[in-house]
Amino acid sequence: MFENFAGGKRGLFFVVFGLVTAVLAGTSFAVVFYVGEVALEDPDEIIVDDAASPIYVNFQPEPEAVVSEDSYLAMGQYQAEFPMPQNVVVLEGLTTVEIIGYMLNHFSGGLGVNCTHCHALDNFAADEWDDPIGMRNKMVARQHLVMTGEINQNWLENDQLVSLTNLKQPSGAVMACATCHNGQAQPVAWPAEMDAFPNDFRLPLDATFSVEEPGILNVNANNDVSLDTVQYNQRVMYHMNVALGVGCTHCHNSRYFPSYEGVPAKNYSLHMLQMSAFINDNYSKYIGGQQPSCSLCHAGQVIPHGAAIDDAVLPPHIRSNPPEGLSIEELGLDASMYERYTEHDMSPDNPFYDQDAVSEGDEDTADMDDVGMGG
Amino acid sequence: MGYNKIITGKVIGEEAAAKGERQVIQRVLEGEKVTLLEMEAYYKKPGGTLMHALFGADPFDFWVGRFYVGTFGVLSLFGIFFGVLFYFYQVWVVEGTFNLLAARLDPPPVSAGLSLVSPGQPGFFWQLIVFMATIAFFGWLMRQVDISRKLEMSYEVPIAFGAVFTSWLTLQWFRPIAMGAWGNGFALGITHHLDWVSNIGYQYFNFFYNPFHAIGISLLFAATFILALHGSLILMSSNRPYLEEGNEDGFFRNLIGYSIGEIGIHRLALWVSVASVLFSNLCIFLSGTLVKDWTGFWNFWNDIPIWESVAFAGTAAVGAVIWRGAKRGTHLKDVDPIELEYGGRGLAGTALRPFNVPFLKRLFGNGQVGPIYLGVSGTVSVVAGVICSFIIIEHYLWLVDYNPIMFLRNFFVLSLDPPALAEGHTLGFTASWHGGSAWIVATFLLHLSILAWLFRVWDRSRKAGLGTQLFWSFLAAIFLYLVIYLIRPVIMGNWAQAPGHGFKAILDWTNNVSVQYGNFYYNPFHMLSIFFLLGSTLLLAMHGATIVAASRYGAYREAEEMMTEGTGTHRAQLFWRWCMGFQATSKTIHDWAVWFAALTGITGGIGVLLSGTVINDWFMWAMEVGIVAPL
Repeated sequence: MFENFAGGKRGLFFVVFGLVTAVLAGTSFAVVFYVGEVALEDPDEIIVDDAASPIYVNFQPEPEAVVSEDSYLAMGQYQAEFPMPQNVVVLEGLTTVEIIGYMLNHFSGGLGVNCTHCHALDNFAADEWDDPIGMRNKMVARQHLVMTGEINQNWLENDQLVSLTNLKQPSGAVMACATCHNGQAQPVAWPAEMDAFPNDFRLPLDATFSVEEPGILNVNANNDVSLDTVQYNQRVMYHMNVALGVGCTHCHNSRYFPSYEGVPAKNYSLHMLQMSAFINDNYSKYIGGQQPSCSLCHAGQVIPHGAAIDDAVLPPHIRSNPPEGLSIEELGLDASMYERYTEHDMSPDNPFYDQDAVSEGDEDTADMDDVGMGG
Repeated sequence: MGYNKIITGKVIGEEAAAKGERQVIQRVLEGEKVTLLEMEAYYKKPGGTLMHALFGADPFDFWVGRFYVGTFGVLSLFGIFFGVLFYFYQVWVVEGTFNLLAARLDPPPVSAGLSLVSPGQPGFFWQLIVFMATIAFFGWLMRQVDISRKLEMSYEVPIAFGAVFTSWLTLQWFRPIAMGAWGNGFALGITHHLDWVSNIGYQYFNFFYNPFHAIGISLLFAATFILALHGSLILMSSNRPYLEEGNEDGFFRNLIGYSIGEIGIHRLALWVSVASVLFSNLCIFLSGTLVKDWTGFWNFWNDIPIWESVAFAGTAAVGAVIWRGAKRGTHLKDVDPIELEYGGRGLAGTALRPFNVPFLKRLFGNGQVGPIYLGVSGTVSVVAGVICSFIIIEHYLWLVDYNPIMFLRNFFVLSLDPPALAEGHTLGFTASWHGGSAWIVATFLLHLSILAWLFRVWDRSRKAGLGTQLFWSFLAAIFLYLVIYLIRPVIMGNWAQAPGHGFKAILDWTNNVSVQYGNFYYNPFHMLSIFFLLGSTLLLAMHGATIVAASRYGAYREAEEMMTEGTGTHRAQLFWRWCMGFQATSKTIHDWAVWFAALTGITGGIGVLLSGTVINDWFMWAMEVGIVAPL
């Protein structure tokens, strides 16, 4: 029955047809398996690189890259001279060794700055020396320590997020210096790409973030909101999409957006929005008048890479309220202290810019661009 | 006759001739009217199947009543029987529900990976059903090949069905394998599969921004549009024996400047409907495998390094190519006299000297472009449309400070929005020009333009001696348009209910209106509209493919075939009679076409009209009537 296969047009047809089929099928399988190799990683999985740092979720502080030899020598001398530190305002109850460890991992590592950013090397305890910029930086640092402590106390400490549901996420991480600074001395709270036309990702920090209130976050037609409110709402939602690098279904069962069915992350996001509004209300003037955006800390990650892995790695007054009787107002607010932040000027021409961090800073800026802010 | 010779109707005809019998085909040639049943008896002979060609024998090569069985039919029946059995076993026994609408047949969890789950585990029956359905679809595809061979048609119908089959393969096989888990497969169940679509869409930020999704959906609408045009035109010329082909061609040339022709429309139908499926495959396959964020995906657009001086050069180059191409068309000396009959002076005459475009001729079989009829309604329509476009584009330019590069770069996100309700604007001219009043004026002009064009369709149909079916089909589409842009905003009391004029604005409106009213997937009129939209594409694919497959027997001459059916039309009818047990005729397939296309607009319009006026929350409505699948 196969005699016609040997010769003739039909035989040729089957040979060609078989070859084409084999090539197409082979290519298809190759593509599918190649894509499968690429795509097997679960996008929702939080990859925590334990080797990166025992302190941060997934951030590698590299103080040795920015702290000069002079600084190390000066630290050694100061530690030998004063086993207990002098003139400490916020970090009470720590020895000099503990403070140096904290400074190296959190300030030098988290901000990418040398000791001279805030200190006189001949006397670390001094509040006044011949560098006016350094003096201001030290005051700013103290205010930010108090701020971090208050934010942790009010919103993150004692597993407040975890208690919203009993599911795995989030991890119990809390705020540290690198959470916002992310290796930069001057983090930009709201990346320009986020609200550059046409992206226009909003975050209405003056709104009340509440599920019961109709409006920005509750757009069901039963609440009598208009279609332009829904449009506004979508921009808020895209802000969170982009900042966390997740789709809508991270927090929603999109068959019915208003519901909470089955998706605990919606509770976390509400808590975090309330925290953002709190930061905006209380600390905006302490971050140069900037508004906090979700991407300031998250930078494309569900759990910010710069967050402290656990509250135990932080000094007591950073994980909760500042020492008795000390408030951020008492540390004084001079608007000029934060001047440089309003300009977002990272060029070396800026006199406030830390020259020591130039190389590190450039790399970090490049990383931020890769996050995909929608520019 | 060799034992492996393909036995076809032709061979049997030769045998009949050898026996001295009078062949059916002979009677056809002699001008005798032959009924479909006589023709069926003539073609209904064993032989010619794939199994015959490959192995010389086909044990199932017979008919049961009208149905052709065949080896692949048996394979298909096996898949259908067990697939349906497992489906109902899962719903009735495993889930214990008789509410078929709310049944949910989920794939195994993603954590199970690509392994086959054991009986009793979740997803076990999903795997069996998907396997059986794949067998059934494959069998059906190959059965269509067999029927095509028996009727000596070319293979366009199985090719079109194969395109749809690749959709199933992409959803249930290729994408889950690429993602590394069967759990990424398509969930089954009537409302549950809507939930799946919704959750997949929003998992990758916003599926409306998926360009392949946009192209696929546009092609679905294009398919419905083509179906309405073609179906209407054939019905318009049915029962009018005095008409010639020139009447239909002249009608469309006068209306829009080009008539694609009888064979061309069926080729276009096949290509558009197949392309819509292939683009849809691409849009879902890429989601989650290579692209996880369709909003961020558009970064590529701003990153294209043409947004400096090159943009101008590129635009100029494209313009030059188009201009050069247009010049190469040859002008026709002989124009169809029927078209010239309508010609006259002034507005009551035609413009555009007819010319021939060889490429169109090769593609569709009809290369003549023009003449186009002007008329009062046509002039009003074009002038109003041009002013409307001018207002919209002027607003775009205003948004980008009249920067032409920014205009091109942001073209897809620029929009002219209606006056915002949030700023207190309702139906009056309270907003500034660029704050929304421009939208009111532009939209009014758009209404005027479209309604004038509607009148033009009526006018030209009547003047060409045709029926008015296209007028009514167009009206069905305009109903949806008017509900969205005029009727519903007026009922709701503010223009902000209507979409802005812009690519992104329309996508955003669609998304927002769905989010605002619970979930549009649970709007039963939206369900119907989608049913008719996809049904229109299916009909277009079936009809286009069938006619192209039988085109060498003249099946595309539908206006004539309607009155005296030839062998091409008989084959086209027998194909579906044997394949699925019933068939349309040259006329009734166009009845199906017109109604499917029209109901897409009508049901969609009702669905939009009810949202916010009668029903505020479609998901809550669905919960009340009990069609929501359990979580």
